[in-house]
Amino acid sequence: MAIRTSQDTAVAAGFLSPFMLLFGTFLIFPIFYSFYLSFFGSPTDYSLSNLEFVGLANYKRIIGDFQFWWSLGVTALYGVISIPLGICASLALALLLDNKLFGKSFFRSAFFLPNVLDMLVVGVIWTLIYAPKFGALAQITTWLMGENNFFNTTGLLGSPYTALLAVVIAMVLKGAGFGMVLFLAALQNIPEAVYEAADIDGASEWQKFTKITVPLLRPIIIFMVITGVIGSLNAFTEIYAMTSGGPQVVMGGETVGSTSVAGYYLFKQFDSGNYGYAAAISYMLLIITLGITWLQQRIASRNDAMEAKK
Amino acid sequence: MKERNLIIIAVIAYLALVFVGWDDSIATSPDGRTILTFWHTYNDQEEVILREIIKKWETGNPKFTIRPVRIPFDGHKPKLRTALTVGQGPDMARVDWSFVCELARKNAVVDLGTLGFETIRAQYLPAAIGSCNVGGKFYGLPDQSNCVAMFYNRQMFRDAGLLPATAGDSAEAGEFENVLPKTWEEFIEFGKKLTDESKGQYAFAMLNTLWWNLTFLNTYGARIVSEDGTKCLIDSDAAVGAVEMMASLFAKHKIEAGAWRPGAITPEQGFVNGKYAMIMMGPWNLAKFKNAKMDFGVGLIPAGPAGTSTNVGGTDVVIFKGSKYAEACYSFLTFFTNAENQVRWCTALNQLPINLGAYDLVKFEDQHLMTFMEQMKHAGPNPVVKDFGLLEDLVNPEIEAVLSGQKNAKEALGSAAKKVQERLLDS
Repeated sequence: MAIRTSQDTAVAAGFLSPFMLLFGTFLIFPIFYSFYLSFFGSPTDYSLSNLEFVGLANYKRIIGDFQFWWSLGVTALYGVISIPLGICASLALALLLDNKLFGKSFFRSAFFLPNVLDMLVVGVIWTLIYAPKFGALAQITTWLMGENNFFNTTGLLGSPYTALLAVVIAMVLKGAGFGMVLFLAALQNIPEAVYEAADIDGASEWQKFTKITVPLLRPIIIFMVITGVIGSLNAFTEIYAMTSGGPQVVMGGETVGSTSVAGYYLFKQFDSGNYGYAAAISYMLLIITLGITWLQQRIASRNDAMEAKK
Repeated sequence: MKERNLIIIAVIAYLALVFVGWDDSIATSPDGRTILTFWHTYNDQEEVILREIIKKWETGNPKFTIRPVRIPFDGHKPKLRTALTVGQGPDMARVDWSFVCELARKNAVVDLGTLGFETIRAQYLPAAIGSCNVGGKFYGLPDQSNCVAMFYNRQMFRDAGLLPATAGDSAEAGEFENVLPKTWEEFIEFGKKLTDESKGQYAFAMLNTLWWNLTFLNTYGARIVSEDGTKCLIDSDAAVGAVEMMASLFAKHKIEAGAWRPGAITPEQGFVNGKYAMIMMGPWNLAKFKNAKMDFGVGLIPAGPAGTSTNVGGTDVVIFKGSKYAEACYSFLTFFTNAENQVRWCTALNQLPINLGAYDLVKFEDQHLMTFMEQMKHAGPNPVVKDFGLLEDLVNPEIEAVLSGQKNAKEALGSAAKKVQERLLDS
């Protein structure tokens, strides 16, 4: 029996080895190598073999780097706006399509479709929609409000006060289809009997939604919050495609990008060849992501325990 | 079972064969000639002429053969950086002008002075060769050069009464001298006549990146860094004047469309769509505008206190230190850019020559190109810094803050100068 088990293990390891090789080369190794790089300065030539060891200097530099903390603030704002909006949009779509509607299958596919498209493509399409003077939004608002309206003169992406919101709207609508599918699956798993019991107790539609539907959808909501936080901290492509970190805004005398999220700032550092500093920033972001995820799970499990006590 | 074993043995044998036989350092062609690899970013038409010139050079150099490898222009820098990092760079490459300084500072390219470049240096256009000059040494040769000039929509000029209604569709020689404004003051006056906000029509549209802004800055005689590359001069009075004038086009005179804002319609798109009457553009878009059946002309950039001027763009060719055959590479690149081959190249491809010997021999049927040749004579030098991308990252946001009215030019350029000095020149 023991021989059989070890043979099975060997066979399993053999089958797993191609994946493990790729996983190790392209994920595990870069993770550890970038940690190693974060203790080195920028290369003086193109070789990575003679980098200067700088110890914790890159991490110390982060502490005094206003642009980094600003980008983290923008990231937080991006998450604070996009996560609730994303959940609401997904839930609204799911509730709408959970009914007996004409053409339900078509709308399910249609709402899911943007999620399949590449982020860059979606970003470029929305840039054209938002474009002042010639964009679709400018054309509609001009028809409704005349030439001299904000969407036509400046455009949502042209003002530092609306650009982030514009990116959020585009991304929420892109991602809502995915959340919708999750919510739909969860909604269809709620037994009809629960609603019937509530009907007998004389519960209103709103009470049924807040006291039955939302609590039973909690695992999906928590999942969406966690993936939303990770998504916000990793946000890059949408910013690259739509705003390149701009428009600029002056804060305390310092000129900073109003949509310069941490992922984009990290990219700029890497693009400039500051590999060590970029690696240190990525580890800082990793620590923050892990911290927030841990906190979320603590809160969720505490809430679960409280619910169980009830 | 036997069959399965045979398959496994065959796969292992194949992999072993590939592993043993793999050799990425094949340096000779089947006929025994040494291969020199040339990474370039030319398009289809350019590659045809390149291969023709390579063939001519190989006739006189039978020991070598050149292998041209095309890489996309967008992304050629990271591709080369990666190749050099892993020691797999080519023998020579065509790179953007702004990349030469970085390559030289990172000790990746050959100082052409060691190969006798001093004797032929005077052949090259001074504005174009300037980007190869790093600390007094030349690390590349220009192979293509361009600049921007002022494109104008002749129909919009006619509609505004700035061009006779009877003026023909084709640009006539010397037309720019009579039609376009000669100074920035005149430009603003023209702009007011060409702008009609109710129709979404603007006299002018501009981008906000340092390279494009050099055109404005050069007409004011402003310099970004000192000649020796040690001091940032972007906060000079001349630069402040130039940026104030730029900002006034949008905020005060309202003749600029705000095309520099994120998400806005670019100057190129708006010009093609007949929404922007004038844009700064290079010769690379002449064919595109002609294909779009546009009725346009090209004129000199309006003069500032330092006269008319422009920026310098284009590409250079460099030889990498990893090459064992630097002399052969140098022989090819000087042959490729000599006057005779430049005449062939520029005439066939409608491009501006970089070899002064070819300047008088190239005659373009397209008058627009003659305007570019005239404009090129007034080009100002580009700032040669080890990381032009970083220079743009530090300066562009500050100029945007001026354009959007959040900072005044003196304050913004003072802040930009401080950052450039600390993070680029002193580091």
